[in-house]
Amino acid sequence: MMGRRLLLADTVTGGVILVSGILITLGAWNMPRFEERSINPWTVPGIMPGFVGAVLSILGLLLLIRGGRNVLASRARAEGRAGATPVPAPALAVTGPRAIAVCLGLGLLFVATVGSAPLIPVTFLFLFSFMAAFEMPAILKSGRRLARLLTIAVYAAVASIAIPILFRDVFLVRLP
Amino acid sequence: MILEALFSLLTFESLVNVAWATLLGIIIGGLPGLTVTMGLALMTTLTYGFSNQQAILVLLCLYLGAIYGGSRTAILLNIPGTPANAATALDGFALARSGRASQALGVATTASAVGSIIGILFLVLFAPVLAEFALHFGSFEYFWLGVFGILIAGYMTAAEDPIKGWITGFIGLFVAMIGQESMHAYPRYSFGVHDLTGGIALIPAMVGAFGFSEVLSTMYRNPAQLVTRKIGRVVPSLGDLLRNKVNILRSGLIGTGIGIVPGVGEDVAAWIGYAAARQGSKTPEEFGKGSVEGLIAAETGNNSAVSGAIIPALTLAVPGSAPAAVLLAAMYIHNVRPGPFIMIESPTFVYGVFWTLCFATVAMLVFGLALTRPLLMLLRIRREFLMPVIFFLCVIGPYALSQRVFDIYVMFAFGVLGFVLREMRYPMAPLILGIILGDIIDQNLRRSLMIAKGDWWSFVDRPLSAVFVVLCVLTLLAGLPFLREMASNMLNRKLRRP
Repeated sequence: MMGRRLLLADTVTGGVILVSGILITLGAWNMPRFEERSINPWTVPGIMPGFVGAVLSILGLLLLIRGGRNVLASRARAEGRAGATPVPAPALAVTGPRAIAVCLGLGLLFVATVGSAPLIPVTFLFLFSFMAAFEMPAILKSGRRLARLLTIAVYAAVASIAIPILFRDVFLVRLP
Repeated sequence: MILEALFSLLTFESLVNVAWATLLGIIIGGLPGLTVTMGLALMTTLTYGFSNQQAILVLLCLYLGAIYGGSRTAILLNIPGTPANAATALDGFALARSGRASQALGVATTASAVGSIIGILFLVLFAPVLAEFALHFGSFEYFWLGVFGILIAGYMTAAEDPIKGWITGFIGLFVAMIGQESMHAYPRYSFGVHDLTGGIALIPAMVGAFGFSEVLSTMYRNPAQLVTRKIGRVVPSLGDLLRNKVNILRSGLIGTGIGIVPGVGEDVAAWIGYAAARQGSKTPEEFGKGSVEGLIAAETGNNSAVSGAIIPALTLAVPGSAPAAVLLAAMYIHNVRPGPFIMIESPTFVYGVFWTLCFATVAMLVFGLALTRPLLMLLRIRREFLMPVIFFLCVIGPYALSQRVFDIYVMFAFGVLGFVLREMRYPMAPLILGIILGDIIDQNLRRSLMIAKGDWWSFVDRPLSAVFVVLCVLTLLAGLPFLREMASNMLNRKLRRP
């Protein structure tokens, strides 16, 4: 993230941190003081969270003020100036927000399925779809599409079988 | 005692573990997208069934190997295998591009080994002294040590914008507040969710923040290209080392010193060592264009910081870096109690750490010099094939430790949070330090208030506390220019008054 986008993100984050800090402090204030148990009043659970919330609010406020000032200053500087040329991604690589969407989508599906379905088939499906999704531009350009997909399938199958066996039988770890 | 520790480690099992763990560390450090912290966090889950001695041995070897292994990618791909090798890339890659890749790899290997030795010597000399000194710490001092740790880690890991470092540190402290607190068992911020009552475990959070977020970052960026596929014989260049003896000693001392500072770690150590070398160099204009001096400074700095970071983890239970934080968590898992009493309760363990690091340095040197070409083949594994496997490991690693599916969700959430924060240039190390120090600060704050009967003045009127307060104020002044200006204006006004 570069330049003005980063400044804008800082301003928004400053606001989010400020609000979160206030909410944390309020949460801490509303925590029980256990007067009925006659505990030492300096050991109540809300002291430390209150301190953390207050500091986060101050830091959020500082970021918000500084970010706001910088955004205005950068807007003034940017007037009349052409935008920077983005660096092009290699022709056959899936990168940027598209890559994140694929990672998060497939990752979330995998995480949601782990524990409720057999591990090896689920892992194979995850690995195969992940690799195929990122290899798709190269596969579509290639003349040997089936061969490339088969290679990915073999790779995914080996990884999805070998890693659980290694974890379970060599490191004696219990798996989902 | 020191010999007893050596003999206990001279077993076939230990030596085999040293060999494979160091090699695995070099591979993890060398592969872009795999970080030391992630490797250690995942390995902690795998070594759960090991004896405490062997588990810590494996983790230490992996740690040292990975910090060194990152230099391979920094030199050949211009992508630091770990953040600790970012300074290495500046001159290492320039050397490789000018056809001197073998020399760069050889220099980096020997400089790393010498840096490790400097750090290890300081560990064995300094750890017992620091442990004895820490026996004088009370709850007031521990509270301030924790606060100072967050402030200095935030300042040094985000030097151009310390507010961001402090924010992640305090987010970490907030995360540590979630779940049942230790004095009255009151579940804080759990909103009735049963799994949150147990709190957020460190390992899933770390695997997410350093593992899954790295997967996302790697896939987000453009893939890297190898600068050369031809590597000659990598030999240790003793001439280069002898010409740089002052540089090596300076960077080693800086690295160890920075390593000791809570939460700062190897990357900052490498940068400061590099900057000091440029300042002291007769040819500073060559830095960044293929300077052997720069490469040596960076690699000595980061490897000496490994032992430096372990010193406070062992003696104060406060980690000097993010990987040392995992090591600390692993020690607790394996029933080793780090802290001021470690030299009284288990001195053999401390000397065992010393010998383990010595063995790991030898293994690192041997593998680094002998296996450069096979390691180069590993660098050719494409990210599209490697990253989903890493994600799979990130999923099963946290589960393996606790058998809780909830920990997988924690890993995922911290991965997304880590990626977003890193894209906005927030450092991750203070976040982890915050999670570790949260409980220490909380308990010692309340204990101190109880002892002082609510008198806040007691927090500053003890000599050691006062030192920490001054350090905290100085860190704040260094990080906030407007605060510095305000303080200097106030001082000027006072001085002008008759």
